[in-house]
Amino acid sequence: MFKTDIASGAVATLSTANYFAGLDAATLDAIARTAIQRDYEVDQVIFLEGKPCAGLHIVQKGWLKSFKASPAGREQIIRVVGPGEVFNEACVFAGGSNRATAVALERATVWVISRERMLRLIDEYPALSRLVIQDLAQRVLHLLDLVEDLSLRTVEARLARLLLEQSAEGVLQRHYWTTQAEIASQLGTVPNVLNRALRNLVEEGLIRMERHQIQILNYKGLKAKAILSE
Amino acid sequence: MLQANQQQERRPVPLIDPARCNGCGLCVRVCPHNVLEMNSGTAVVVRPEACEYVGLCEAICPTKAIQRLFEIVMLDAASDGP
Repeated sequence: MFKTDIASGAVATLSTANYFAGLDAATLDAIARTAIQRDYEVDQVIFLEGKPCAGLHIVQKGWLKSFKASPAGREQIIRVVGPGEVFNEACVFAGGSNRATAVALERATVWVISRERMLRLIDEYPALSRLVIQDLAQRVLHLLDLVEDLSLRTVEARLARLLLEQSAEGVLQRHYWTTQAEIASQLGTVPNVLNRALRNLVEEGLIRMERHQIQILNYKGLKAKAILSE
Repeated sequence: MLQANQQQERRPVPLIDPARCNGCGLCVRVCPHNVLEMNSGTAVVVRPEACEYVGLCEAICPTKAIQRLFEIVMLDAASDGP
C-alpha cells in the first residue's frame, strides 16, 4: 500500500492528465501503484533519443523540453511540457525507442509508468484504453489537417504558376488541352487536392471554371499567389 | 498536351477511353443530364448537347476511363502576358 502523501501525489497528477481524467478512484489508485516517482534538477536529462523506451511520463511539477538532434547537431525542440502533461507516449504505444531527448528546464517531478505496465493496464482497464485511443485519434486528425493544409498551400502556389504559364490571351487559334489528372500529376499531387486548390482560387476571384475553360480573371492576383511558394 | 478536334473545341464533352472502360455503367447512372449510355458494353456520349461538364462521370469512374479536357484561358485584359 502506498504511503498517503506519495499516493495522493501520484493520483492527483494522474487525474489531471488526458489519459486518466474521468477514471474512477479505484482505477486511478491501481494505476498510481504502477508509477514510479522521479525528481530532476535543472538541465538534467530525463531520457535520451534512440535509447530503449523509457515509458510513459506524466509531469507533476516543473517544466521540461523534448527535442531531437538535427543533422547539423542543433536542437530542434518538439515540445515543452508542464504539470499534468503526458509525454513519450509514442514509443509506449507504437514500440521502438525514445523518439526524442527530454531535459528538465527547472526542478521537476515526474511519474513514470513503464511500457510493459502501461500495456498491461490497457488490457485490464477498458476505460483507460478508450481514453488513450481518443487522445491518439485526436492527434491524428490534427496532424492530417496540418498535412493537408501544408500540402494545399504549396499546390495552390504551383497551380497559380502553371495556370499563368499555360494560359493563352483571349481566344487563340491553337488551344492546349489538358485534364485535371495531368495538371495534378505535373504539380506532384492528386486530383482531390487539385480540386480543392482550384476551388480556393475560384473563391478568391482569381479564376473562374466555365465549363471546359479555366479562365484567369485576375492576372496580378494570380501572379502574387504564384510567388508565395515553397 | 492533348490535341482536340474542332468539334471538341467548340463544345467539348468528356472523352471515354474504350480500352479502359469496364462497362460498369456507374457514369451512366450518375450523370444528372442523361448524356451517357451503354453501347456494346462500353459507355458512350449520346447527348453531347446536354452535357454541362459537371464531372461526376469522371469522378466516379473506377478505371479512370473518362477524362474532361480543359483549356486555360487568360481573360484579364490588364495582363501584359504570362
